[in-house]
Amino acid sequence: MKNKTDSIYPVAFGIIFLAVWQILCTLKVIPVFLMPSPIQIVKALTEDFLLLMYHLVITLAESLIGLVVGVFLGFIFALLMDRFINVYKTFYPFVIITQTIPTIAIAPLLVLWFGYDLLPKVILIVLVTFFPITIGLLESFKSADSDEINLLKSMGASEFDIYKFIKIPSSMGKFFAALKISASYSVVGGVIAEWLGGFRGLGVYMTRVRKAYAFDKMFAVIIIISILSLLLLKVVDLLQKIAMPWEEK
Amino acid sequence: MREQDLTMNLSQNSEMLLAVQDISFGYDNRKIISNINLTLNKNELVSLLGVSGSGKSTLFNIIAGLLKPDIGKIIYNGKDITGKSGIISYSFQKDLLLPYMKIEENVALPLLIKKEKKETAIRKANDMLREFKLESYAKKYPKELSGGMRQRIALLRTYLFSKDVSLLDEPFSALDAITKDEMHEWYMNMRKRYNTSTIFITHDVDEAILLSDRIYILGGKPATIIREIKINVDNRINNFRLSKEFLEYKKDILKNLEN
Repeated sequence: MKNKTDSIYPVAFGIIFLAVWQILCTLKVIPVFLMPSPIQIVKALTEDFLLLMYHLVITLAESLIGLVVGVFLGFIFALLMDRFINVYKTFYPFVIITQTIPTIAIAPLLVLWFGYDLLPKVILIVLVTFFPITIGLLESFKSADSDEINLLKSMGASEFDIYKFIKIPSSMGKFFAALKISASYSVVGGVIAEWLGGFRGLGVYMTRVRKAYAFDKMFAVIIIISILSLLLLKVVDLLQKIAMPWEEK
Repeated sequence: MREQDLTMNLSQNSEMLLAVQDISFGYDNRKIISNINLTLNKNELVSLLGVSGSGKSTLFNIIAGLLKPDIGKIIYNGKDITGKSGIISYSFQKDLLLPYMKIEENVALPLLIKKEKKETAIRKANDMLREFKLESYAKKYPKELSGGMRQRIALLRTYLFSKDVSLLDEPFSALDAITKDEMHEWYMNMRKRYNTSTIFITHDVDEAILLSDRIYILGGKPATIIREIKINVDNRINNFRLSKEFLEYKKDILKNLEN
């Protein structure tokens, strides 16, 4: 069982880790130009907070649009590949191939083809987010309980009924596990796309501060990205609780 | 041995509801059931008794229309329904309550599949739950219920699908002995109310004698019907299981199963 005292361990470790880091920086064991101290990072974070928020809005928008489109496409692909064996045979290899293309290599091409605005970033995010959903759902659809399906068939159920009453609801657990992966990919995918061209977004900010060797700001933006990912995961958790009330009992 | 048990088609006089005619079925050139003939009359409970793996469930899948027989026909109310599902209600060995649906929704499932309005279906399910004093479970999920309770809910779902005829495939086999006794009593009361014509699969000889009007014994490879026995008892509740009659039937059945 999980209980509150369990969280003491990671919190204590985190505090000790930060303290040691701070001491090493203060004693100049680590050169400051290579590694900013935790206090410097917090300073950079507060100084640039508004600017960071300005960039964050864009990254968040890209991530959410990309994620929603990616999840929708992932769902449709899984449905079609499960329902029609020929669609599965034809397209499954290509679905796998899309994931062997390195994101970092395709991002500049997308920028060249689709410009510096939202579109190339969203496309990249869709490319990385649809995959976990498709694979997770497809596997789950295919492993649906055959006795349950027979029961429904004996009641005269149509294919649609079988998806509605068995395949889709029984896949919810897998779906949300996949959604957590996709949600964290969506933020990272967005940032990577922004590195390679754009005017706004956390990735753009990151490129600029890196070129200026402002390592404290670099760490500040990394923290913001982590928090953003964690928040998205929390939202997915919340959605899961609402969508799967039977798990709560 | 009773003379009358030996005559086949004992029930010619009653109104015939379902007939299984000359059914044979096999997989990969291996025959599983061969030349099965049986009938089910209105308001009757007929058991199919046989050892595990004797093809009883295969026969049910054929009657329910989930499998097409290689040879033979299923006649229901005078119509050929071979290979047609959605007509005869079928309850499986596992309760198969869908874990993500509340009890009321699980009971209402057959109506939802028949495209009834959700509110109407849920209302009918609740009426039924109330009738059997199970209304306190309506809003719960299956995993909150005990095995016996889940099986009752599964049976209600079967009856909500059709009160005319139902196939029950070892519905009580996964329950412990005490729960099973309770379920038999509960089930007999339920049958008194609805009088649904039922074919019941079991490998439990006591259960078959206790519940059935007639018993078909399945045996051999491929499986055929080797014997039909009529159970003539007026009062099944009071100490029937300890009576001499009961033991006579049991002896007769066991002898047939051994062969």
